[in-house]
Amino acid sequence: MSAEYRAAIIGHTGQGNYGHGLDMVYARMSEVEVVAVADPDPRGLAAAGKRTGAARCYADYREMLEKEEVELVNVCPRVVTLHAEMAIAAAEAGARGIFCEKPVAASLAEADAILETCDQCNVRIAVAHRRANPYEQHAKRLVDAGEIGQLQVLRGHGKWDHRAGAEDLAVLGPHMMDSMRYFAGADVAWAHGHITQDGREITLDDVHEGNEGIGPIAGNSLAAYFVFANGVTAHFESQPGDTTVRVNSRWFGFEAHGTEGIIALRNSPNGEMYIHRQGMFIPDGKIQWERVLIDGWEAIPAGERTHHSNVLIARELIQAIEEDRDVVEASSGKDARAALEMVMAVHESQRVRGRVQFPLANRENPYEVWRREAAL
Amino acid sequence: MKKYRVAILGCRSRGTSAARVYHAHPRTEVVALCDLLEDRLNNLGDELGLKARFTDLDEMIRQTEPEIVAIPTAPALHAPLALRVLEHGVNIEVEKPMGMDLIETDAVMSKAGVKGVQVAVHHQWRLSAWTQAINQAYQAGKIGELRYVYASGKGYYGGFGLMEIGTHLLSHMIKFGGRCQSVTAHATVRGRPITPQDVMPAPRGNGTIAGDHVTATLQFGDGVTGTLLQHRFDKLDLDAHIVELYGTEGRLMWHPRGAWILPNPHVLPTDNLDQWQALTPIYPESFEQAAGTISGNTNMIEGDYWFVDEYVRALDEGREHECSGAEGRHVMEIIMGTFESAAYGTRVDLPQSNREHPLVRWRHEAGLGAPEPMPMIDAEWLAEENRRLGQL
Repeated sequence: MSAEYRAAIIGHTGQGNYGHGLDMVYARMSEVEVVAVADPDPRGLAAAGKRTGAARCYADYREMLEKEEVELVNVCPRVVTLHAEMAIAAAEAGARGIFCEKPVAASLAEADAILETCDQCNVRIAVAHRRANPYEQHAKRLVDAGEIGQLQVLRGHGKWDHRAGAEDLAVLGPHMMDSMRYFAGADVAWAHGHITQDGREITLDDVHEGNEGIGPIAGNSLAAYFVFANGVTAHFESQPGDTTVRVNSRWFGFEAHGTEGIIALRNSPNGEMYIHRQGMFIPDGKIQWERVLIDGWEAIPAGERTHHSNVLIARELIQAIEEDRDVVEASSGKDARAALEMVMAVHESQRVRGRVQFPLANRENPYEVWRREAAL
Repeated sequence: MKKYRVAILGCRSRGTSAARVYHAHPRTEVVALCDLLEDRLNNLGDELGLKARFTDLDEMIRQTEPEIVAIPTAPALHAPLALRVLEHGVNIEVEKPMGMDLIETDAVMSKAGVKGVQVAVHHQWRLSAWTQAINQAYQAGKIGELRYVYASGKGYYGGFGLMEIGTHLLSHMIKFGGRCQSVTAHATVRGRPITPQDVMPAPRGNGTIAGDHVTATLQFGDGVTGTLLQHRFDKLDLDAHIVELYGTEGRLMWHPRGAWILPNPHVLPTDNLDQWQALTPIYPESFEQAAGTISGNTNMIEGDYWFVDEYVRALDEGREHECSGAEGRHVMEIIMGTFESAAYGTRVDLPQSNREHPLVRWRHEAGLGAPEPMPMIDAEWLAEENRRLGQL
């Protein structure tokens, strides 16, 4: 059977490489053929060409987009700096779907530009957030069905590792923000954040360039609070934890608290799900957490689940293209922008020392505004 | 050893509990009772074998010269009665909350300062046997540095819960988190943000409130933050009534009927739950012997007993009670800051310079007069509120 879709892969070895395996997502999808790969690093490009089976390799992704006629473009680098340029170029070159590594962009202005171009060109976007994981999908259905009563509060946490605080928020936060917003089932109305460095309020001196091109960040501890338009609230905390223990990935996740139970989702994309059939957990042994297992997913070796999670996203992207609709179960471009907006709101709230209304009026990185205002 | 002379002002349920505990403690003696209802007065007087019974508090204080007057009355009377008692230059313990707004609490503290006497606010959970166990583990560094405090009420109507139970929880939170520097809060009624029309008198005369769901995020010093949930549940859930401390190396959880420690900052459901260890409650030295003499013993008695024991030690040592008026006033600053933040949508720095009740001010600014009276009894109040919201 010949492939129905042609895909191009954009990577950047040494600058975020190919993200979390986004280059290999089509390896077992017979409906998609990877026809080209672009990477400015010659050795990385050669390796990627061999790995993906792409017929042609390019040092310049723009040249690739100009020469190749593809329906799908994967924007893979973990370093976010060029996500917007790459995604916009892909949309303008005629792609019908873009699969982008998270975060979707380094700023809201960039995310706005991506969405504007994609809207104009009728291009669908899926972003590699973790809500496509089968456990999150299963949990979402349970929450919507009232399994834990009325949803009240979502409590998310980053990995609290060496990236605790702003980097945890920027790099891993988008997953949590996207998932919590998905579970809340509404847009954020307003948010509040409090960021500290070693226990004191951050100052401009604490602002520094974050890793992976995420832009200026500050603080090694933060607490954020979100109020959704439907009254559901969410919290996110990231504080310096014990980096000598390796529980961080399994701690990373969130809890959905309902009036009659709690669902805990952890360790995505491998996925762990637990349910506690009472609204509040106390460790008196009367009511235990129950682990929920999805047999089909558990049968997949742990090392391959990221790939399978990516496949779920890619399949929905293709379905969305075919049905001329937005991605729904996976994270769409609009969802990814909303998640980024939640991340930025934490910093913006710290900058203005108050709650911030959504949509955020400031579309720049808040610290760039802070620096500029301080220089006046 | 000196015994402190105590008078009880108000002989309803909380007054009865207080009187029994002061009566049982070896370092205090109840010297007088006061209540406007003679039946209540006589029932408690007969139980304690006490003849000094009064219906006039000033007369009671003049005649019996107590060193502590306990004021476990209806909430709206806390501050007015405290001011009257303080005029006599007597130490007081006042039931929580210590006033209905900051103007009242400031007046109480000012009067106590002028008279050179102590104010203690009856936040007995802060001193309970389970809190003592938590505190011992915390002070021993068992959870490392404190990062975050989480507390939840047991399901009262949000704004009422804040005044009724939040006052206890906040007292807990500041015990560990220290002074609260600012608060950001959210209050809703049936899922929508509160409006000035939602401002109303609380059940039990517990001040002016708004919101069936109230959530407050608190910023303490040293980067510590906290979250307080006061959400209305369809049915009260005592198990929801918790305070949890998150440290760099572990967690501590307080509940009115237990305390636990997890020697790990991260909870992994089903994996490390068996690592939660139940802590042993810590009682005052004299409690075991005294407890047997206290009738109507409930799970609140040990907290009440600790409260009295702490008052004795504070007076012996010439220092403030741990649940001092200053702490009680700060709790009220957080509560009022929570209402202000929820109403005006701002982050409120504490202590706030405007001491008026923010919800009263908000309603006034919206051109509304005083809210309609509401029933005092919880069930009737909720029925009336449900009617207002078109829920019946």
